Amino acid sequence: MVESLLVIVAVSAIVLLMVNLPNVINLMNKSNHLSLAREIGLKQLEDKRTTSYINLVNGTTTISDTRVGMLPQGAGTVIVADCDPSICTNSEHLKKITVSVSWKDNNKQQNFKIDTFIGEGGLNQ
Amino acid sequence: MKEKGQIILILILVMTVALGIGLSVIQKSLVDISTASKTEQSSRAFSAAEAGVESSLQGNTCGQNFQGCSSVSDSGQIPRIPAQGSRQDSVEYPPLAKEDVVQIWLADPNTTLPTCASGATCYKQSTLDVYWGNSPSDKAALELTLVYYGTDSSDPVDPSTSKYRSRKWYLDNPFSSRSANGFDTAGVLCSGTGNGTYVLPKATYLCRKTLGDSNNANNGPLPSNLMLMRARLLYNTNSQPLAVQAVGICGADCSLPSQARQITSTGVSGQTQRTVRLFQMNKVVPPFFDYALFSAGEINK
Repeated sequence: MVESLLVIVAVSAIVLLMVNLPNVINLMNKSNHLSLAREIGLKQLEDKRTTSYINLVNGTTTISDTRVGMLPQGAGTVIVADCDPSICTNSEHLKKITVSVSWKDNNKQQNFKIDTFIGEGGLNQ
Repeated sequence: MKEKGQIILILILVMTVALGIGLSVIQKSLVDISTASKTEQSSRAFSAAEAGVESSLQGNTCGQNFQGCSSVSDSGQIPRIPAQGSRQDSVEYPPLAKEDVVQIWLADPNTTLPTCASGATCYKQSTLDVYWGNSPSDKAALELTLVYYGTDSSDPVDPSTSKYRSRKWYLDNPFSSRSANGFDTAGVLCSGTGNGTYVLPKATYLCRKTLGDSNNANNGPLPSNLMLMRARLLYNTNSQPLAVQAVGICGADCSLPSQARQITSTGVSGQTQRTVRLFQMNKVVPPFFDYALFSAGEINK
C-alpha cells in the first residue's frame, strides 16, 4: 500500500516535470539568446569606443556581426546621435550610442538595448 | 508477492533518479536565466557609469538616465592649494605595478619653465614627503628621478652652468634584506610588521622618506627651480600605492601644482551597481621615455 502511494506520488511528480519541460527548455534558450545578444551588443559598443570621435557619424547602421544569425530572426542596429540637449545642457561634445539587438523566442519579440556616451577626448580617444 | 515488491522498489528507484534529473534541469534553467539577467543589468550599469565619466570629462556632472542611471563625482584638479597655515593634502596615486612610472609635477606645467610665472604654483621647499608600499611580505623599493633647472657642484664636467639636470634616489625598505643592491635606506622609515603605519585618506603606507632631509647625505636639500619628479616602484610582485605630500604651511610656495583629476562614476541598473574610476594625470611623459634616451652629450636633430 505504501509502495503504491509512493509510486503514485513519484509518477505525479514526473508528469508535472514532463509538462513543464518545454517551459524549462524555453527558459534555457531564452537565457542563452539573451547572453548572446548581450555579447553582440557590448562588442558593438566597444568597437564604437575604439572609433575616434570625429568618425562617429550620426545615423543608424545595421549590425553585421555573424553571431546575429545564431539568434532566431535576429537583427540589430547601432544608433549614433548627438547628446540630448536636456542632458548636455552646455552643448558638450558627446555622442549617444544606442545598440539594440532583437530576436524572437516562441514568436515573442525580445530585445536587448544598451546606451552609453562617447565624448571627444574621452575614454580610449 | 515477493517479485511484485521488487518491481515497485525498482520503479521507485528509477522514478527518484528521473525526478532528480528533472529537478536539476529546472534548477539549471533558473540559474541560467538569473545569471543572464544579472549580467545584463551589470552591463547596463557599467555602460551608464562609463557614460557618466565621458559626460564628466566634458564638464557635465549631472546624473545620466538611460535604463539605468549614474551618479558622478569629480574631484576637480588635485591637490588643491590650501590656505596659509594649512598643509596641502597628499596626492595618492592608484596602485603601481612593478616598474610602473608616475610623474609628479613640482612646477605648474602650463607656466614657462624654468621661470615660475607670477600666479603659477611651483613647489619651493627644500624637502618633500614620499610614501610607498603596503605589504611587509612584498617589500617595494623606490626609484626617484628629480628634474630641476640649475647648477650642480657635483657635476665633474660642467658644475656652474644653469641647465636642466636630474638627481636620483634609490630607496629601499630597511627590512628588505637587500643591502647588496646598494640602495639608500638612511631616513627611510618603514614599519617592520603590519600593513603600514602612515595613514593617508585613501591608503595606509608602509614606508616614508622625506627627500632633502638631513639623512640624505648624497643629495642634500632639494634644489631651487624644481620641475618634476618621476617615481618607479621596484621589486614588488603586487601593485602597491604611492603618494607624495608637500611640506610646509605657507600656501602656494609650499604646495604641489595640480597633478590629476579623479572622476568616480557609479551606474545602477536594477539591483546591480558598477563603479568606474578615472584617474587622469596632467601632461605625463610616457613610461618608455625613461628607457628611450641614452645620450652622454647633447642630442642634435
